[in-house]
Amino acid sequence: MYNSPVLYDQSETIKEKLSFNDKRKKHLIIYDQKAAGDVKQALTAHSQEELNYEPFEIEDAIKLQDLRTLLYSQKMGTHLYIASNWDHAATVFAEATEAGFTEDEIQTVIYGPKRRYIYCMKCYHTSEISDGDEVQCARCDAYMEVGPFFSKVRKGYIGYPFIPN
Amino acid sequence: MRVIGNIEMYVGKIEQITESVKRFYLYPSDQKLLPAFTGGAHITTYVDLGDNILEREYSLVSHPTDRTHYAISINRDPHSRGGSAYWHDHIKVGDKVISSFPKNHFTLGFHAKHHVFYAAGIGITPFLTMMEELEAQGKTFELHYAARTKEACAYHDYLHEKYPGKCTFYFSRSDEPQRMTPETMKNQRIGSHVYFCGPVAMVSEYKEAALSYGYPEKSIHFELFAAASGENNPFLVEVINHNKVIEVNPEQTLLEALLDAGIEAPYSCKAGGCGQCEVDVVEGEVDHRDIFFSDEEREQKKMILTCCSRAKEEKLVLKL
Repeated sequence: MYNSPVLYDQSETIKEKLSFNDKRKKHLIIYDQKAAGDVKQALTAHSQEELNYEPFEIEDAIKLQDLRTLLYSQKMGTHLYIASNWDHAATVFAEATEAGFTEDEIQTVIYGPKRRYIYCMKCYHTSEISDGDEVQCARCDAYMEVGPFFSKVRKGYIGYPFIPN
Repeated sequence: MRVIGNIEMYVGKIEQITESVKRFYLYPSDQKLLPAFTGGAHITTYVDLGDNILEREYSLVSHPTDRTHYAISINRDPHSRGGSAYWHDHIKVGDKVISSFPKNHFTLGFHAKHHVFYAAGIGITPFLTMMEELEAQGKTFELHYAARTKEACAYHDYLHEKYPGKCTFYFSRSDEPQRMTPETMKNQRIGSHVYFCGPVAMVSEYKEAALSYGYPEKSIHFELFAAASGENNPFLVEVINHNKVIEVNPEQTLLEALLDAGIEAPYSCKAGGCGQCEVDVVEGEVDHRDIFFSDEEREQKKMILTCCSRAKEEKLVLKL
């Protein structure tokens, strides 16, 4: 959808570690191998009786059809936890919002580096960038200040071109 | 093109929908096209009674894209404060009525994947236009609608025919009485938004139930008929930026007292549901009677909805 939420490095869904939302009735945990240890540890603190949870492990690559079947079968009152590397999280997040999850119903714990993207206001191209407040466009080489605004439509920070000294 | 403001209308037609519900068709006196509106919108109507103006808000029930006229449906409330009784007993075809531009505090959640409506009695009215809008967009929805009997259920036949399989009716005084309950919210698919319209007790019950089932607050929408009632204590209100101290007596709301004192206080629904009349509280404890603010907001922010809430003690200091 045009204005669907997007996972980006400052997303309000990103947390340092898994913490269960006690307002929800069910907890769906989608995780990859990097997060498996932490997820299992977090779950051992709760019995299935006191915490209604459903774990789903991503093995190697995400099987989109299985993921969609899982997400679309969820009912209201379900909270989704994504614990994985950035690429897996971005895929699960996009599929989850398409299925109907809102940012209020998603918690994301990223293992490893987060990715950042910028939308060049000069050549209208979105590209991945490294850390820093000033970057160069990957397509037109324009120097740009990063953000502070993030565009859900362009899926990147707005890049403001400037002429370097 | 119209400039925002009030529109002079005349009553072109009146239809008896049920024993207690009438539908009034309002046409613009200047015959220009009216502003379009979105599902769930309402207008404020002003009827000149000679010595005062009768001001009431009613949901629009005409088609959102039909700009030739507006229609409103009014239930004659046996406990009417004058509004519905006057419209039913005195308004006739040809009468002049002033209408505001359409306003909408009860909009459809545009992120929703499925919409679930709960109406009690005349609370059906905002859902008529919402369903029109969703049907035109090919989106999914369902209606749960409670009334005393089939005969008292406004628009029953119309809804039954127009939206087959999407409407469930509950008649509390039929041979086999059925009660509408919040339980039907439990198994809604992810991405559902729920909407309630009815008396305060019904809306409060359904809102609490939705939260207890794990719905996020942003997926819950509601509109009220009237503000919650309670004991009305007299109190003083000091408005610091107007240098005024106003007495609020038990027969009036804080909003009425402010308006009577010549202060242009904002307002809209007058039922504690829309938040338009929110004012900053500088000093004093608030007796919150709205269902607009969450408990967290009440704790974190110092504010009051003047249409329904009052002072807990003798005095409030406000800034507006």
